Amino acid sequence: MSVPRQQSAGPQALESSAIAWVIGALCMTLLPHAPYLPVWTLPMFLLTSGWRFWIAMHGGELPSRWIRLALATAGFILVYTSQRGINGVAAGTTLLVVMIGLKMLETRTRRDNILLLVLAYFLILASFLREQGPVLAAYEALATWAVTTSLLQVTRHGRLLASREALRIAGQFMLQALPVMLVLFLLFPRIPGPFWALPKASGAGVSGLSEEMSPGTLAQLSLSDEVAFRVNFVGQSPPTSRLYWRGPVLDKFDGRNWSRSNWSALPADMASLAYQGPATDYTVSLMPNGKPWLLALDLPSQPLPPNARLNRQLQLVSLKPVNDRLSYTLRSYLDFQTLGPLSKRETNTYTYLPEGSNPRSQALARQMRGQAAGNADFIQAVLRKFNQEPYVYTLTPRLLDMRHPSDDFLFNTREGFCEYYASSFAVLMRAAGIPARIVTGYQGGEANPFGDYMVVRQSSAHAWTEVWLQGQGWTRVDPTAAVAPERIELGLPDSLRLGDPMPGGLMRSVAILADIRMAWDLANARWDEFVLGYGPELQMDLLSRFGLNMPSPVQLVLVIFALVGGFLLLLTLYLARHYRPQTRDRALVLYRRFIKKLAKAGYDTPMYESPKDLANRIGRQHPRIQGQLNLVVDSYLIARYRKTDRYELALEQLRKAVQDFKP
Amino acid sequence: MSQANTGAVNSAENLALLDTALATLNRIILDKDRQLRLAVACLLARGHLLIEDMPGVGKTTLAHALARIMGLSYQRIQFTSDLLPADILGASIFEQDSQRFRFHKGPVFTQLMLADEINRATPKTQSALLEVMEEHQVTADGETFPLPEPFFVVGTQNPTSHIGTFPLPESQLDRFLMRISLGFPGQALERELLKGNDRREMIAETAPVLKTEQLLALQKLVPGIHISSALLDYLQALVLHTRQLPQLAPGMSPRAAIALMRAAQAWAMIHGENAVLPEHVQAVFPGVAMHRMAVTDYSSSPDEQARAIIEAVAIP
Repeated sequence: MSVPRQQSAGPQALESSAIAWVIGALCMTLLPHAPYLPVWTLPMFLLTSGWRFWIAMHGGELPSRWIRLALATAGFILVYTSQRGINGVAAGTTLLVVMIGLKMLETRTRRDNILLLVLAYFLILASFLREQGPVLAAYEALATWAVTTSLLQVTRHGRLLASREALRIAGQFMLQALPVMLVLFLLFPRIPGPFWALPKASGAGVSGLSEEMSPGTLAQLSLSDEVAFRVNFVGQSPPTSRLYWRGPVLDKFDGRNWSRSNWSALPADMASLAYQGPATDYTVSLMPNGKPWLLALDLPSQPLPPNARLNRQLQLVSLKPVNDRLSYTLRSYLDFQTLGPLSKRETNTYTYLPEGSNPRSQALARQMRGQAAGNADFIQAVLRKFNQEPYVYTLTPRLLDMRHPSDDFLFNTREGFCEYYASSFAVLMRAAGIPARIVTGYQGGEANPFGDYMVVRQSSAHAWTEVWLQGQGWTRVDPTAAVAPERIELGLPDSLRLGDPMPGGLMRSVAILADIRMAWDLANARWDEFVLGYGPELQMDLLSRFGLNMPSPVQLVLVIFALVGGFLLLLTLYLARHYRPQTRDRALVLYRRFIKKLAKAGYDTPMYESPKDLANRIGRQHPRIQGQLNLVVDSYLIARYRKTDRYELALEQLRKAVQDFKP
Repeated sequence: MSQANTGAVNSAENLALLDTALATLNRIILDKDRQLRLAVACLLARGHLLIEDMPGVGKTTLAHALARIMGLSYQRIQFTSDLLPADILGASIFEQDSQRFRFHKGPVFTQLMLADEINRATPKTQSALLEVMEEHQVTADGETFPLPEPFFVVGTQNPTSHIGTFPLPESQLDRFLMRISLGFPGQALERELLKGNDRREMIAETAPVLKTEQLLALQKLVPGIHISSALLDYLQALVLHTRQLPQLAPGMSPRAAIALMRAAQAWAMIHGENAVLPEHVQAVFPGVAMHRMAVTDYSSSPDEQARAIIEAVAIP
């Protein structure tokens, strides 16, 4: 063959523009991984792909096999040592990216380009192992478009399409695939639990709550805007000031640090709980927090969600850590009482203060208790002290002297946030012999005007105190309310003073931005609920609306086949209707039949050979069929190429000749 | 010899006339039947012919013989680097007797002009020739002088690698309907040549086969050769394919496509067909198409490349 075809074996055979498309698509798919990869990975990828592009532009040899082998080995060792192995999402992605970079250096043929683009699709898939938000999904849809366009370009024979045209065609492909995608998404048999459930890296799940609390060491209050959970109330939601979402209870104090005692491991004595007043029904959609903590409005009643129970400290806990979004429905009573006496051991725990810790606080407590008429009066006195003396609520307090943090806070700094007040209050209570403990959780929530639900963010994390009073049981006392009532009345965000760092920054100060923020949260909530949360229950619910009651997986697969098949059939019919060649030349159909007969009999019938040349060539080799060949070809030429007013006759002759033709 | 029959598209008389002409040509130039037919087809399609080959393979003989047998007046101009446009077209000269300028017609005023070694002339002279090839007339001092009909230029050109040449760009080569090359003479011809049978004498002894009116009538018949839509499909597929090959960028122009069609019609006519068939297109394709495209691949000859293009396109 004298005219070189598109592909020859040389490394320069791949057009630089095709390489550029591949590199562009890979860069797009790499971007979401970038924050999780070791810093050297991306420069290395850019280096190797830049190298490959340079060769495509200016010619030159690709690195030899030995160099590539050495690079691959070095890359593997680098990944293995920096990631301590090659297991896990992070290490796996790193290895994949490094090897894609090195693969660039041996990209010679169209096949190599295709392989790289398939890997790009894989990178898109892998990005969802980390995060499944709507923004990422939208971005990856764009990336899929880019990769598909590149695939279209590199598989072309001859010149590449104009970018706009290629993008249009690839977009068309994706739109055509959309119905199939929807059918598969909605109907493919769902397994319980999210599809993406992978073993989470430890510590995953951001929480404003923790198992320990040491006021004064760090400004630990979470200012994160991340959503902790969302709540749907049945009917009117209670006022913000009454929304205390109960989390872990901290009752073990060593003078500086509050932590959880073993009492949390015991179940609650449900009989000792007396619920009063109206019930509040609501559904919580909890974000993963990595802990077995289910947030509930103080205080939830029976029936509790499956796999959940109340512990001795009245915290709602589940049997497993919450690593995926979890939705549960609860009934709570904002008014309740705990009946019965405390045991001796409990009293010991809740009144324990280490010997000699915070001596000034202890002295103060004893002095104030001595002046008070009773425990209730004493509590009021302490709250009055916080309210009337210059105590300040701030999110950025000075650090405390850790030898006696409560002393330092009460007598020197006098500034802090909920933890500071709750902690010192509890110290004072215990010093006066009143059982006290600290309850952490969230306080308040923001109603979303668009979606009739409430968002509780990590920045709403709160700590308050519970004291045990004779005849009343455990009673909530929130000393923060005494210092900064607006924190409780309005919720944290609206209560911050000038100069305090504001969660969400300026956002909240502009009404429109606040609306946008709420609308965005609604979008997120819907995404979580309907896309990520589309599990077996939602699926069955949806299907029952279409008259399919609890179909088996096999039935579902059959429905999928029927729908996808039907869609493809419609598409085929449409295309067949609109892309049919304009004239179906009957002579040509007959001639093709003739060619097929020849080919079947083992004759060579190249497509470019003119009918006459074909007849002459085969006729010369096989004079036996010369006459027949001429008969077919002559009538074919008359019907198709010559000027004739006896077309039908020629066609009839051709039909007969082809029919009779026996090679 | 009978009059060319203008009634029937391709009558037996016409066919006989052309056969005789070709047979006579074949007697003078041996073993070159295909090139001779292409040359005659080119003449019938009213195109100009470019012969590209080494010196001394009989380019001049072909042109001279063609003129003789087709009954055309003949002029030969040897192109050199100092040839001026006026040397071809003619010039206005002041006449003492009449006290005014009179246009003296140059050698271009002939029916068949051999422009020998066209690529030795300067681009200026080349373009003057190409212009007159297109216009079929010469304009001097505001006066227009039509060229005789038919007007047929046979240009010869040495391969561009030879020293002292101004190669014609594709845009000018486009003015030639066909480009052919003769190649070395066959063994028989070479022996004849060596035995001393002078071609020039033979030409002088040969009587013309056609009269000018007959040739003109035949030329008029060419556009009437039937072209079916099936054939146009094929022709377009072929043209489209050249446009998709990167090594031939940008491929055949619409003008080249029309040239291919006319040449195929003429080819069909000299083969006694009154409709163009795919093989006719294939036969003239290398001569018509290849010199119009920027060939960037010199590892194979234009004919071989043309063959590859033909073999890559299925006849629809």
